[in-house]
Amino acid sequence: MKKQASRLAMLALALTLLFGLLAACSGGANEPESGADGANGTDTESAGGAAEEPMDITWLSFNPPTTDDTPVQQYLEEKYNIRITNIRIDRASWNDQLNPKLAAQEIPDVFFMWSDRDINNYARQGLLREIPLDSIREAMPQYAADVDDIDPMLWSSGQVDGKNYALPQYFFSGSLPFVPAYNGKWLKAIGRDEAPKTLEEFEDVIRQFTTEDPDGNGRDDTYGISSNFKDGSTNAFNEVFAAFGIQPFMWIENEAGELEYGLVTEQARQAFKKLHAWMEAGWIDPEYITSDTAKHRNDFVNGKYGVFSNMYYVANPVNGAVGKPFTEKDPANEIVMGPVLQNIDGSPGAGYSWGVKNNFIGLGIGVDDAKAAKLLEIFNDLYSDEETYLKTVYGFEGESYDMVDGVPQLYPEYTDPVQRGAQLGAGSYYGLFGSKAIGMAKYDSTKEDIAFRDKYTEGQPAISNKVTFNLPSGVDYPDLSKIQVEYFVKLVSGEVNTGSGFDDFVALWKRSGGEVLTEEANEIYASLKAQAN
Amino acid sequence: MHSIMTRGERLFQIAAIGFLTVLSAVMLYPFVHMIAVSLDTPVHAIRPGLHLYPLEPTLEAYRQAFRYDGIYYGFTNTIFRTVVGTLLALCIMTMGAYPLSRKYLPHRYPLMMVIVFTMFFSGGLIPSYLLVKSLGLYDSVWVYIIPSLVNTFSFIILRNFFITIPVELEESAKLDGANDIRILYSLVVPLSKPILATVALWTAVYHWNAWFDGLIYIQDQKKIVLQILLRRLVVENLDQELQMAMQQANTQYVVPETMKAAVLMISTLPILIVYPFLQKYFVKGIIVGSLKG
Repeated sequence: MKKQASRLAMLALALTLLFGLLAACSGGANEPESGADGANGTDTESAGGAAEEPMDITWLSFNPPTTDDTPVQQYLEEKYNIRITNIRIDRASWNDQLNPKLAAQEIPDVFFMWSDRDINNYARQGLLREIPLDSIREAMPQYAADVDDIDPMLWSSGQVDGKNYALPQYFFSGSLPFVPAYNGKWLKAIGRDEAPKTLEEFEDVIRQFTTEDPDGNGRDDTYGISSNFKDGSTNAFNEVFAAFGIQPFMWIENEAGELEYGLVTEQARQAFKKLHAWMEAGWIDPEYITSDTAKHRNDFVNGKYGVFSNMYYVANPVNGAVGKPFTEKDPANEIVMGPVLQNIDGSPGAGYSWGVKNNFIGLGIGVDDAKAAKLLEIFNDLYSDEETYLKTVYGFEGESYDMVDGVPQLYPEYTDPVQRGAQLGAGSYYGLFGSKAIGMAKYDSTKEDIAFRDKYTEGQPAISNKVTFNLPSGVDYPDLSKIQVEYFVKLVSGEVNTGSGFDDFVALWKRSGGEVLTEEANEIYASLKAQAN
Repeated sequence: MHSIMTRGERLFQIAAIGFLTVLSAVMLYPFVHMIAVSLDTPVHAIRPGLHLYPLEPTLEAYRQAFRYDGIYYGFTNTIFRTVVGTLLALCIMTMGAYPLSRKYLPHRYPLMMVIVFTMFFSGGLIPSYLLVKSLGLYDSVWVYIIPSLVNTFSFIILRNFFITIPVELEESAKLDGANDIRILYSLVVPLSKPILATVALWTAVYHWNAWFDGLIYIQDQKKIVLQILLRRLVVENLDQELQMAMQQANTQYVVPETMKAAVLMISTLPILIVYPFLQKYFVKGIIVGSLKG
C-alpha cells in the first residue's frame, strides 16, 4: 500500500517538476539549435531568389504595423518583389526587447538604430554589415549630396574604426535655435508689449512675473522660469545660457578652435552666478529639478511660470504641444515669442539647437551583396522618389489623406503616428526618411507652419553640440554625467558657490574623466575636420 | 452590546478612527483622481490642484480608448491568461505540493531543495528567451501560461498548508477504499479551500498585471495583453534622443491625460471588482499557510 501510494505521488511530483523546470531553470543545451534557426532560413532563401522568387527581408524600425498585410507593406512587396518580415518592438523598451533577439541571432536586415552608441556596440559585436560610402554615393546620389550639403560631419557618426556601418539620418529643423516663448497676458500685465531682447530685460521680466502678480489672482503663486530637468536636463535654462554663448551640456568650440565642455567654462560660471541669484530671489520655480516634460508643459499652460524656451513649433497656437492647450484653455491667452537673448558681449545670441544629427539605418550582418544592393535601391526611392515617399509616410491619397494646397492633410484618425503605422504601415516604419529628406520637406509642413517657423527663427544663430561622433573613452566614465547633473543643481541652489566651489568642481570634473574626454574629443575633431576638407 | 468605555478608551477610539480615515483617504484619493481625470475634458484634466470630480463630465476619453486599436484583443488575451493560467496553475501546484507534504514520500527534502532553488536563481533573460523559442512557445499565447505555471512561493505556502492535514484522516480514507487521487480531490482539496483561494487570487493578480512576457515573447499584435497597451500609452516620456525624433513639426501628437486615465481605469477595474469576493479567504489563507511548516 505504502509503495503504491508513493509511486503515485512520485508521478504527480515528476509532472510538477517538469513544469517547474520550464518555468525557472533554463536549458542551456538547446541554444545552438535555436540560434541557427533564424539566420539560416533567410540566408538560403535569399541566395537562390535572384530571378523571380521574392527576396526575404526582415525589417526593424519604430511604430510598426499591427498586421502583416498593411497596404504600405503590400505596395513595397509588389513594387520591389520582396517579402517583408516585420519585427515589432515597443519604443519604450527598445533594448529590453531587441537584445534577446540579437543574442538569439535574429538580426534584422533593415536595422534602425537610435544613436551612434548603438552602431558602435553592434558593429563591434559583428552584427552589422559594412556599407562602404562609395556604394551609398553610387546608389543614393541625392541623399549623399544632401548629407554633404547639410553637414559632412554626419558621416562620421556612422563609422566605427574607419569603416562605415550606417546611413545617418538628419533632422533639418534641428539646426534651428530654441526661442524663448512668453506668456503674453503676463507681459501685458507688467506693462510690456514685446519680448525682452537682452539679459537685463529678461531679468526684469522674470522678476516682475514673480513679484507683480501677473495673473492678477492676488496670490504670490507665480515664477519667472522653470525647466523639465527630470528628463530634459540638457536644455535646462537654455535661454539663459544662450546669453553667455554656451550651453552647459554641449561641447563647444572656443576662440582658439578647441573643443571645451560647456559646463566647465568661465561663461558657465557667470551664468550660474545669475541663476543662483535668481534662485535666491525666488524667481525660479524650485520644482524645476523634479519636473518632467509633461509637467513642465502643463505648468506653463496653468500659469505657474511665464517663460519657456523650446523649438518654435511647440508654441504654435494651432498645433503646438504647449501653444494649442494654452490657447484652448483660454482664448485670450497668447504666446509672445521673442528673439534669442543677446549675448552679454553685445553680439547676437545663439540659441540652443538639437543639431541635425538624428537616427541611423544599418544593414544586418546576414545581408548579402544582392540584398544590400536591393535595399539601397529601396532606400533611395524612400528618400527621393515622391510617390514612394508619400505612400510610405502618409499612406494613400483619398484613403488616409487629402492633398490640400500641395501638402498631404491626414485624416483625423491617422494623425497619431502610432495609429497610422499600426493600421496602414505608413509613417516611420517603412518610410524611414519621413520628414528627414530635405527634398520632400514641401510635403511635411503646411505653408502656415513654414511661415510661422520663418517668422520666429529666421536669421537667428544657433549653437549645437560639436561632438557628433562617438567618444570611445566615454564608457570608462559612467559616473561623469551624474557628477555634471549633480553640480548643475548645486550651483544653481548655491550649495556649491560660483567662486572656489566652481573651481573645485572643474578640478573634480577633469579628474573624473573630463580631461581624457576633452583630449579625445579634440583629437577626433581635428582629424575629422582635416578629412572633411 | 453595552460596554462602557472610559474616557481614555474613547479618546483612543477617536484617534484610531481619525487616523484610519486619513489613511484610507490617502489610499483612495489616487483612484478618485484617476476617475475624475478620465471623465473630464483634456483642458480641465491638466489643471493643478485636487481632482475630486470632473468639471465637465464627458465619456469622450473612454470612447477614444475603446476605439484604440487592439484594446479588444488586449482584453480577450488578458482574461484568457488570467482564467486559464490560474486554473492550470492551481491544478499543477496542488498535484506537486500535496505529495511533497507527505512524510512517507522518499527524497522529499532534496526534491524540495531543487524547487526552492529556483526561487533564488533564475536563468536570466536571454537564456529564458532561447528556451522559450526552442520550445516553440514564441509568439504563442501559451507563453503566458506555461512558463509561470508554478510559482515557488505559492507552492511552498500550499505545501505548508497540506502538511497540517493529519495523516490519520488519509489513513481512514484509505481504509474506506480511496486511492491517492481520490484522497486528494475528495479530502485534501475541500479542506484547503482558504489557501487555494488565496493562491488563486495571487496568481490571478499576477496574470492580470503581467506584461513583460508579452513584451519579450510576442510579435503578433493580436496576442498582446492589456497591460502592454497601457504601457504604450502611459510610458510616453522617453529620453531626449527619442523625443527629438518624435517632435517633428507635422507629427506632434500627445496622448491626452484623459485617455491615459481612462485606459488605466479600464484595466484596473475588473481585478478590483474580483478582490472583495476573495478577500474573506484571503486573510484566513495567509495566516494558516505561512506560520507552520
